[in-house]
Amino acid sequence: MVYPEAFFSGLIWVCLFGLVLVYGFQIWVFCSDWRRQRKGAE
Amino acid sequence: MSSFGVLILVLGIVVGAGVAIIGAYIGRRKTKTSEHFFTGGRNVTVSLMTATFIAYAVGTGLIFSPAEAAFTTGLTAMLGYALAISIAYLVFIPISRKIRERIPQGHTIAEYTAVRYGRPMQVVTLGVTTIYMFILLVSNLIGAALVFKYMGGVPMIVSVLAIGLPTIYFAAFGGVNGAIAANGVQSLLITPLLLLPAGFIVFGQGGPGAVYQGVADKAPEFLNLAWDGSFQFAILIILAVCAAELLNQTLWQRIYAARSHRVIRKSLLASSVMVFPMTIVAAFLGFAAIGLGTEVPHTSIVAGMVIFENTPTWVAAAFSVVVVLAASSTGGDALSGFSSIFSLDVVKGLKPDLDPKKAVMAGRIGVVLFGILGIAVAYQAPSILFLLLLSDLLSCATVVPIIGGLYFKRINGLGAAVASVIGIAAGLPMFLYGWFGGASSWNLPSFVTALVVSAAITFGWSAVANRTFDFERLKTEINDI
Repeated sequence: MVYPEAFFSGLIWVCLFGLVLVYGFQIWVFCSDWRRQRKGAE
Repeated sequence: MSSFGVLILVLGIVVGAGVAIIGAYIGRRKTKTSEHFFTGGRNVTVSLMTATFIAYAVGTGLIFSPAEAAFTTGLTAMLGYALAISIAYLVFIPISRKIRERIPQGHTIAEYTAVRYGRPMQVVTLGVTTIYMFILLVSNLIGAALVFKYMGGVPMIVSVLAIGLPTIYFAAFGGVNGAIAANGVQSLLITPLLLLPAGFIVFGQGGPGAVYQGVADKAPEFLNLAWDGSFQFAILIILAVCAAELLNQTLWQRIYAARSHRVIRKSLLASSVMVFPMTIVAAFLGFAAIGLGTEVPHTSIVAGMVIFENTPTWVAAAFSVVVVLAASSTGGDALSGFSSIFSLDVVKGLKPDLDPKKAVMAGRIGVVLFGILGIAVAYQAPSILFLLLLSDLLSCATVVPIIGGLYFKRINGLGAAVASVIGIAAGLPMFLYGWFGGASSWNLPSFVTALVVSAAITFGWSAVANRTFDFERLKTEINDI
């Protein structure tokens, strides 16, 4: 039994686009953390 | 050295030096006491903590080894590697809560085992954690140097120095705050620069299906879903990475550096989600090398070679930046971890009344010595996967005695030390035979043997010895420096 081509292609596409999404999430976490720290400093 | 070699070397020096200057500057600005140097003032927040977990993971363990595993073993191994890196962070969530609960003022793993188990187990822990940190540093330098050598003809010693010296600089002068600040920059740059070449290859081939067809033609066994070498490797790597990360001084240091357990839980969860697609994308490059028939002179840098042969020069140059960032992030984390080990376990062990300022100085000296030794060894260039698996095996043999000591008060110090040594003695020869004797089927049994033997002796010994440990001692005997 072998992995079907659809599984492999799906995995790679999901991971490529998933990585774009999680990178966006990381930037959002950075920005909100930075804003919170600035508010705290004020 | 080719003109491309000059380009990536200059890029590597500029990026490496830039990150080092930022890391050292922020680290020095935030380091007001020795506690700041070793634990970041125990005040790091979610964004930087997430960044540091991601940047730590994206070293050789993510850029090179998953691609090497996919190239040499197959698709199941590639999936196993991604799961291993992701699951290890999830497993660490409850353990990190226990570490902070039991040892709120902690710094190192060996400091904990010294109080919990006594001198013999402290020595074993020191040995295992130091070897692990050293292998992390060396394997990252090797990976980067090999990419520079085969992509641009840059001599190994030149690239090892170009990446190693700035890394030593920010780890020595910035302390853990410097390493975390550098990780922040590195994590923001690594993801897009990893996506770029992978995207180029996927879109350039008209989708991942072309790579699948190429593998199906050239090495169809790598697509098997069966109890074969690839499946065994997947189980092995999940076991190995989970055990190793639980005994990783860099991660323990981050646990103590966080503002609260909530910060750690959120950061580990976010990192666990992020590193899975990153590992799959990196491992895909190894698979692409098979499918596209890339010539690979050294399996450890298969990802670099497939990019070099199949993307434009500027994309390959961008990947060389990822390599520098990956090597300097994990290498810097390893150096920062070792600074705590050297200063607080070795020097303070010999001189218990060490002044806090001198403890920081000792940490810096440790970073420089360790870094120079790492540079000296790195150009020998053995397989990165072999080095990482070797350190993982040592962790497998010691993880139950060390982590078990946080939960079970009956585990005995001498029993834990004997269990660890016998676990290593049982698993190591099998692993070396499997690796050098070409009998890869021995690899998984060697890890299971190391783990099971040490666990059985640890719990068997504690059942016979009728002594219990008072966990309050970890709070009263481990304090700020």
